[in-house]
Amino acid sequence: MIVAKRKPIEEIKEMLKGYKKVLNVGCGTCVSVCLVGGEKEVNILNAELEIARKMEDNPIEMGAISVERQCDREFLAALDDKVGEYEAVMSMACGVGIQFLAERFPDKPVLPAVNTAGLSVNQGIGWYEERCRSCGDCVLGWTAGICPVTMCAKGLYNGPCGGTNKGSCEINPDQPCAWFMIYERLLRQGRLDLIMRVHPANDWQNIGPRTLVQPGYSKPDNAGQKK
Amino acid sequence: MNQEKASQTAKSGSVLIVGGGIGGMQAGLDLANSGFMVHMVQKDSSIGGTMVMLDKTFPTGDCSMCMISPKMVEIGRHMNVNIHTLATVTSVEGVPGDFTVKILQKARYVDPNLCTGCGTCEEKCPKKVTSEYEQGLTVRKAIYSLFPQALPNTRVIDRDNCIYFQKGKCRACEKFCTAKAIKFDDTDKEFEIRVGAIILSPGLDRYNPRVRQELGFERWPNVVTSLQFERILSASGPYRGEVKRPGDGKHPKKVAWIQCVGSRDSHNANPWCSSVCCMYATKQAIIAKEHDGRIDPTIFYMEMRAFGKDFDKYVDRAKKEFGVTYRRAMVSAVREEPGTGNLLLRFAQENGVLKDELFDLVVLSIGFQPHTDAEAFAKIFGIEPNKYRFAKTTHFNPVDTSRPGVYVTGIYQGPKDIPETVMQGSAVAARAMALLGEARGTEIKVKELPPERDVKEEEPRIGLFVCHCGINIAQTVDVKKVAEVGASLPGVAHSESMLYACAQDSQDKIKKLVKEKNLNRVVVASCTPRTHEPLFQDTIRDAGLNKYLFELADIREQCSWCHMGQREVATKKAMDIVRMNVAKARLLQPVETGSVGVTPAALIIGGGIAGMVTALSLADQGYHAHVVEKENELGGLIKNLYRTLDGSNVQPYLKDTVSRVTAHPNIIIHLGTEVQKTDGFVGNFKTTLSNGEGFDHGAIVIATGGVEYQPTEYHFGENERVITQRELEKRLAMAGPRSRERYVMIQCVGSREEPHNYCSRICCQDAVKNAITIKEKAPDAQVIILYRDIRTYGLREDYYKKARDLGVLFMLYKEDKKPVVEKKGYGLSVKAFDYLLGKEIAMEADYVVLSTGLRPHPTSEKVGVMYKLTRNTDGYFLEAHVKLRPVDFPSEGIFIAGLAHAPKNLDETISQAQAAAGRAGVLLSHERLGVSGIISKHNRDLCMSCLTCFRLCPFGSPFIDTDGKVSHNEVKCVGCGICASVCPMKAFQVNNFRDDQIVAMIDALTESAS
Repeated sequence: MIVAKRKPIEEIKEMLKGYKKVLNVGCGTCVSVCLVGGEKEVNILNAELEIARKMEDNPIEMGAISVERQCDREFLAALDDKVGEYEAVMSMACGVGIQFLAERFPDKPVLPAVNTAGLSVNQGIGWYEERCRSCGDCVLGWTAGICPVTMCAKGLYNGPCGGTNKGSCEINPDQPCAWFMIYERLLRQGRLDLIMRVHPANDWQNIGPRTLVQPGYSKPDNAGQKK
Repeated sequence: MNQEKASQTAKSGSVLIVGGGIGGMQAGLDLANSGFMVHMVQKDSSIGGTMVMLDKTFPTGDCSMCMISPKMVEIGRHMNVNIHTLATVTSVEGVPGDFTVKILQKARYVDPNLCTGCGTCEEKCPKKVTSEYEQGLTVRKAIYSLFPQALPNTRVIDRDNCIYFQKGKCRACEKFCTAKAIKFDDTDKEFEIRVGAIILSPGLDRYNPRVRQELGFERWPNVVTSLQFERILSASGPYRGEVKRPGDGKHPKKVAWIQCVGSRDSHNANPWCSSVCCMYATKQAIIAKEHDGRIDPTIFYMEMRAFGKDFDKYVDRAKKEFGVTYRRAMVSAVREEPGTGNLLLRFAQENGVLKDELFDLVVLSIGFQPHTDAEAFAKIFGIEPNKYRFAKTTHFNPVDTSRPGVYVTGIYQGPKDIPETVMQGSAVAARAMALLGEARGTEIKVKELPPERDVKEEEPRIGLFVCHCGINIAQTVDVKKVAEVGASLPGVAHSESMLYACAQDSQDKIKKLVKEKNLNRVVVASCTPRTHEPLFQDTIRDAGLNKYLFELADIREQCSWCHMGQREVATKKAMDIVRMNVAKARLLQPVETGSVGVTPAALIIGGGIAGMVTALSLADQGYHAHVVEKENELGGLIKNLYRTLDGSNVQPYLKDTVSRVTAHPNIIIHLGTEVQKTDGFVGNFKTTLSNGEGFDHGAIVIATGGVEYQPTEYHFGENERVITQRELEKRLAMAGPRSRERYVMIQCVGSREEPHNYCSRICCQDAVKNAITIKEKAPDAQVIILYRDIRTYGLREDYYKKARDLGVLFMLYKEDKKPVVEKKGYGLSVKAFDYLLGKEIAMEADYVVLSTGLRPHPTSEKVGVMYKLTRNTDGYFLEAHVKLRPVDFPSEGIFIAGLAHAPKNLDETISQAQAAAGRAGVLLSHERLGVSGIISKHNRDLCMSCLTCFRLCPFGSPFIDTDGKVSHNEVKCVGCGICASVCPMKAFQVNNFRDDQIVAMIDALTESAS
């Protein structure tokens, strides 16, 4: 799932400095499940901001609404007749949701309340670990299910660098070396020969904003225009 | 009720409990909750015993009063517990199942039926008397209650100190009692009751340290007993928790604890070890340091007996985190430094050199002893005392006295701490349940209730009753005004003030008004919900309202008491509190409480002694017991045990137990198989075994046991002359030691050091036991025991002394200087550092005997995962509460016994197994199990299955349903509210603590403020 981290309150206050009435929009999917940007967190942040601004003798009125997914325009439609009352909109969704919101309301400043922190697994309550960088060219089949792009600090495709140190990565002794783990697991599965396979580097320079159309579907003619 | 039925059966369905301390209370609640009528006799004016005097408890630092007072409230309100205070038993006649007991009850001089416990009499009483409860550190009145939370809360007149009784004048209490409850003409009463079993839990007396004059108690004002220090630490004590010296009120910096005052001393005191002082001194040192960081604590001790679960870790924390100094030395004299009130302590250091050190305050860790009248007490009940006047029990029947049908729990059986007392409380309950099984339910009272009125569609019509509580509330809060303002609140249909809302006449009035004015919610503004909410809930239930349509506004503890003398602000605050509770009451909804059936059978995992004893007790109580043992025979670890410390023969006992288990018609044995899967919940489990068998059951007892550590140290396994205590025991059982043989025993092998930093509890006694056998069989044999601390706690201390008297040599070693074992010729040589001589010495040995510790059984990990049970860092299962729920798990319906819980001796395993059977018996005695109304409700439409609740719930009630999404099993829910507070979607709401209700309360408050 996509995970995010709330921005420091000081940074949020700085962004909202000039505004007196702001709508805070939560998202009911990934950021709700990772306990950062759902209905509950929207209310908590609003209360914090209102109290802080009241203490500074510069009150702010925070509106609250949560939609099922900010990355689907049909859900954003619920905001259309609300946004007008506010000077600015803040989003607690991931970067995708924030941008989609900004796109829908081009006349309003749309501000992020969270930092999107990756595609992660949930290891325990409130504890997430990144596993995928969505590179677009999955090699997990050759690397024993361990992603060298995400798990190797350098994103190396063909074995470890000189910084591998008894199973750890040179950036931090608590960070395992991805290629060491790949070696161990391939060995255990009797597939060690795969490690000799040379993977050409990902074509990073050609990665612009990607568009995906699933097979059997097509972009409608008026795509992107519709509100 | 049911008198005719009772007289038809040969056995009585009532049980007498003598002593209302924590052990007696546990037994009383277990019995009363499983269909027996309980009579509790207490010689003081309140139940509570010793535990109520303590500030905190080790090793968790929980507040003692906060733990015990809910139990006191529960037992005090229990319909089937009859508490007789100021009472003693004068004679017992009859046979098990049918005893006739004579009770003498002293006059209280206050009528409990009229008294509301408001306390005005105590305030007005002019006579000051030294307070026994506060250990002489302050005064009480001549009309008083033992402590603020006393139960019953009716005051008592101390005739010997009452001015009216002594001089014929005063009667101030009578004058000020608006309830007219003072009864100067009250008389002592004698009456008889019939009971089926008797439980003795008279508790303890404490050693009076005045005898040890060299320690200066009552001579130097800054020498206090450990119990006085408990009161000094207590926030409700004479100094409100501020650590001060009684002599001059100064804050002490250097504080010394002197251990074993009155214990382990056969000359001036008691020869036994009191079992708990090492730990309470450690606790007091930590708490003192928490209260005042400038305190520098030192504990003078002989041996650090931290033998319980996680106790060694607690002592380590005291040393490392709190800077407590432990000195292995006996203090020979305490003298006051003239002028300063400081105290000069003289002691011999480890190297034998005398030292004097100055302290600001000295705490004497006084030990336990039986009451002074213990001999007469034993005679009244016709039981045999042991040589120290404790009740005599045996290793294999640890809670049975010499008289059948009379059982014993707590310190009267031998010194012990709170959890073991509680454990024995459940164990004696199980013994009584097994004896009286057929009479269950014959003498209890059952309440008939009118049908509930359906109020769901009605607009709120709230009745508000504001209590004066005598003058407790009224002298600070203008209650009339509160009632007037309350009348104008939306939804309030009736409002008035009452002198005592809890008095019988007020209760009747509330019931009448509910009917007359068609009220559908009731708010009482009075005292704490802790004691009074259940009472008012019953009242409105009697009037045909669902009991959850009641709300209590606390304007006494939370208002009048803390704002005394501030009438205006207190009245305003009382109005706010009432406004909030009325706002919540408007949103109250009736809560339906469901119930589920109970399968009267238990699954017992493990066929060792713990499992077998549990099974026998449950089977005797009338339930089926399925014992699942993965080996092909019953017995477990004690198959290798031959003698106990007191010389009892283990193998015949094991044989007898196995044959009784095998023959019992209610016990089903499953050998050579394991539990594969258990589904369901409390009362309704369904288990499948790996051999394909399956059965239903209502309870689970985990008795997976432990294993002995197989050492790798000291050349074990390389040299056949290096053996374990267990091997030695076997050899001694088969053939005696030879003349002049030399044994060196090494303690704590594989215990009390990383990675197994805990005491295995049994090894000191194993060593002492085998050493005694050797010396008795071959007096010229030589036995040297190398030890770190000899932990022969309680009455086991006798055997330590016996071993020393027989010539066994004990030599200290420390963790950083372990003994070294070398091969020498045919024999062995052991080198160790002698701390008295200050150099290393070498001992020759024919055998080196290793005292190896215990480990949890390897299967406990799997079992833990299967039932979602947590274990401590050493792998032992964690009970629900280390003090008061020692055999329960947080998950309802699952209990624990034996080594799976922690290392312990055979007698302790047996009493814990009986306790588990008692707790399981309480559950299985119910045909149906009521589900509490205060539970969390789950709204699946809002839920997004984020698993936060699933991962956090300690009771396992949210679960992943067959459709792959989260559902909620309300039967397991206890209403703790964790899920409701963490749920990001607010899909959980706790009945009666719903968000809308809490928000309404906050709004009511903020609206009035703005």
